[in-house]
Amino acid sequence: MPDTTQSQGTQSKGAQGNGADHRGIGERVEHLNQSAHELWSEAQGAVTQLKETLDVRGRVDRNPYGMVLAAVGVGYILGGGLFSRLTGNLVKLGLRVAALPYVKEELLNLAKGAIRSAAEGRDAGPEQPAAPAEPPKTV
Amino acid sequence: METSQQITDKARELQARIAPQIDEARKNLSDLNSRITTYIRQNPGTSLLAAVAAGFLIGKLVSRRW
Repeated sequence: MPDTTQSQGTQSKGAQGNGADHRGIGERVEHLNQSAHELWSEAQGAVTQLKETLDVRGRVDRNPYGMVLAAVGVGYILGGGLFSRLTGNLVKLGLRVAALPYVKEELLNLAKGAIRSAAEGRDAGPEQPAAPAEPPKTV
Repeated sequence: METSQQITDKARELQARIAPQIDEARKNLSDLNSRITTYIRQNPGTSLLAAVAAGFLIGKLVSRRW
C-alpha cells in the first residue's frame, strides 16, 4: 500500500514537471517566433532602405540606356573581361579621346606662338649678321 | 554652263529621292528608341538582368580568347 501512494505522489510530481516543461518550451517557441518576426521586419526594413538608397527604378527612369550600359559593364567585369586585351584597347582609346582636346589646344598654342614670332621677326626686318670673330693673332 | 545645270538638277533629283527615305529611317529609329526606353522603364529588373548576362557572356568570351 505505501508503494501505491508513493507512486501516485511521484506521478503527480511528474505531471507538474511536465506542465512546467511544456510551459517553458511554449515560451521559448513564442520567444523564437517573436525574434524571427523581428529579424524579418528588420531585414525588410534594410532591403527597403537599400532600395531607396540605390533608387534603381528612378535611375532607370531617368537614364535607361546608361543603366543598361552600367549593367553590361558589371556583367563584363564579373565575366572576367577586366584584364583582357579588349579592355586594354578600350582604355587606350578612351585615354586618347580624353586627351585629344588638350593635345589640340597645345598644338594650337604652338602654332599661334610660331605665327606670332614669325610676324614679329618680319616686322623687325632682317637682322644684321653677327661680326665674325677676329682670328687669334699669331706672333 | 549646261553641265553645271545638269549636275545641279541631278543633285536636286537625288536629294528629292533620298530625303523621304532619310525621314522614314529617322522616324523608324525614333520609334525604336521610344519602344526600347519604354520597355526598359516598364521592366527594369529584366532589362538589367539581361544586360548583366550579356556583359558576363562578353567578358567570358573575351577572357577566353586572349
